[in-house]
Amino acid sequence: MFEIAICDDSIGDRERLAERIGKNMSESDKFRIHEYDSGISLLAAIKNIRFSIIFLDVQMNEMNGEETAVRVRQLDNNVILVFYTGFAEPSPRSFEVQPYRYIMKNMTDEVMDRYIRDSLDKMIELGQAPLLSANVNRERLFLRADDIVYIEKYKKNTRVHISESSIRIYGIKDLDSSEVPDIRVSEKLETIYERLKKYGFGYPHDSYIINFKYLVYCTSKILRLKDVDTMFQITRSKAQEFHMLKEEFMLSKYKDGI
Amino acid sequence: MGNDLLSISRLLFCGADVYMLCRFFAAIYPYKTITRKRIIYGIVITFLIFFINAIGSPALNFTTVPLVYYIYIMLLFKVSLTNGMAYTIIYFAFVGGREVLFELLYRLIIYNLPIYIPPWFTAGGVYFLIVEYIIGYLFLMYIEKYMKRINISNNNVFSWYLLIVPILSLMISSSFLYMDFPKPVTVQLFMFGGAVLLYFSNAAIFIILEKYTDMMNKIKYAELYSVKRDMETEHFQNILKINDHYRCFMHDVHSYFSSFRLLALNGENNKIVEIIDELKGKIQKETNLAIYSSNPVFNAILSERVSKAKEHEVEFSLFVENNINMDFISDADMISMFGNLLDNAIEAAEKCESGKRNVKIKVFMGTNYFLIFNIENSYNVKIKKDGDRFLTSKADSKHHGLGIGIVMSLAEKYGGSLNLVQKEELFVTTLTISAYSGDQNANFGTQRV
Repeated sequence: MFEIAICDDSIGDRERLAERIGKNMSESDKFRIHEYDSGISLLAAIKNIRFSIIFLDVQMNEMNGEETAVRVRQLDNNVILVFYTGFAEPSPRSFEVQPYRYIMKNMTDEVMDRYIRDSLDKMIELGQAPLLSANVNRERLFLRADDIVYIEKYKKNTRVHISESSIRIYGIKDLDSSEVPDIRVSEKLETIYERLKKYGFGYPHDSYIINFKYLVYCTSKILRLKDVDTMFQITRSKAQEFHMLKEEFMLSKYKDGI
Repeated sequence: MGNDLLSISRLLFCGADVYMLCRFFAAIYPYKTITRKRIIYGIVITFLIFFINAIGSPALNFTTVPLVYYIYIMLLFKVSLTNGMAYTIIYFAFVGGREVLFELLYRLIIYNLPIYIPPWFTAGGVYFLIVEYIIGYLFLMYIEKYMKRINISNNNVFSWYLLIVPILSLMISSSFLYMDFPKPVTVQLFMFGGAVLLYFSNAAIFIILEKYTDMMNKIKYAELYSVKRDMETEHFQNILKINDHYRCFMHDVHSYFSSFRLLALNGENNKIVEIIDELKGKIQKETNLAIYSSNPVFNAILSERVSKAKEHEVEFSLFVENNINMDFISDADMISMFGNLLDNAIEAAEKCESGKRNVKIKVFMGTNYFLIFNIENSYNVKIKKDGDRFLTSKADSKHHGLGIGIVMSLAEKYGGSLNLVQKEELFVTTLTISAYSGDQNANFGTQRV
């Protein structure tokens, strides 16, 4: 089930968008559309519902779209944001807020449909990514591809590092401790990679797999990940496949046209 | 203590000799025959040397073996007669040096330690010979990488003075063998040390030559690089001028309109028409400017290429994602990166027959943190590649092909990379640069490669 949010203070625009989303979702995918008329009511709802995608109007009274987006990102780093706007806006100040698409209200239905479809496809793609079952403190934890920042070889099996918002969502860190407990997967790195490589993961080095989504710096030889202090090496023998997958991932945004 | 020169093990040593010779030359010159032929030649030569050795006459050995080697080299490699000779001598100096080295080492051991080492030509000596060959092989592997980098085959004029050291070392070391082994241990060690150094002096030539060539290449590249950068700075000034020009024009438009208003109020319609006619040419020229991006420099780069493409009948399609922020890229770098890539794409496309000339550009945020600059262009001249490096296909190759190098190093500076893929009918260029500027990257952004 996909939870889809539309946040716009104009009821007419909300209805139009909901209708177009309904038309572009395939029948086999179950989804529910939640409508909000202000950023504040959206933010209140996020605490209870984990949305897959949020369509957000940029010009709203009270709290505007960008401000709302910043707050949404603080709560959930993984949800897909799509800006739904009347006219071009200056680019967001913060990269976290960078939307997946800008949909203009004055677009033709054809272009708008394509953009909506692209965004929904992305959502479905992320939803389909296999779950990784991990162990934390002797308990089972099911991770979505999006939660994972990187996986490293650790002692005999592997250890997963997840994003800060995922740590919060899963509540695996005690409030008073600064240490995140080990999240372990009892599979070999190679096996995990074979399963994850279709979903935006790269294997730059024998000892780790990284999620391209969290890549912030990547030259031909080294890379860095969001909120991770370590610098990762890219092994020469793995470089070609790694860079190819990286590019494929980044170019996929507009692979079906612009 | 019989002579063991006709055994299988000896044959294998001859084979090893021929193999090492072949490897030595393969590091310098290209083959001119197919693998199967090479193997047949190798086997024939191995047997030939095996039989020459079996006769057991040092004089015969010394005269015929180099000749056989030389013939073998001429059959296998694309090398001139003189170069073949020179390098055969150098190779021979290696082999001779190695043999002397081990001979002295074994003498040293026998004299001073209670160990008996049988002479090399007897059955018992074979095992010691194996050690010698392994060392020789390792030595060859060591200098091989230097030889490959010197690119001797590109420069077919041999500098004969390079032969002094190998010949000298060969002469001195072989004369060592005919001297009586001295009695005092210190002198023995002295002699052995000399033989070791003589052996390595042969390697030293190649190492020094490699360092020298490398340095020369770097100097040449740096010179060309700075010329190219100068050109780009000039180009940048031009773009700023165009930009200024445009701003002035927009400013003028306001004053024109206020004067039109005044003239219209006064009923001087003829005067208005006159001014408009005069302006017509100017307006037509200026309104060619379009807005593709909110970044003025990026916009100017694109505008210039759009008109260049039009001039050369290249179909140019352009998509710039809404509201992308490029302000983190310095103006000069923007021109270097995007200008170079766009120029390359248009130049490649314009060589195609008309109707098939197209360039497609997409600029967008690939993820939250990466800016993607993706070009697909048609082409018909295959681009030469040297390993991972693309070479230019332009006629005056001396001054081109640098562009890509500059873009690559700038991409690294911005925490990204440049990837070029040659598909069947399309050439795809993807520049990925990091737009993320967290604190941890602060010192990365300025890193120069």
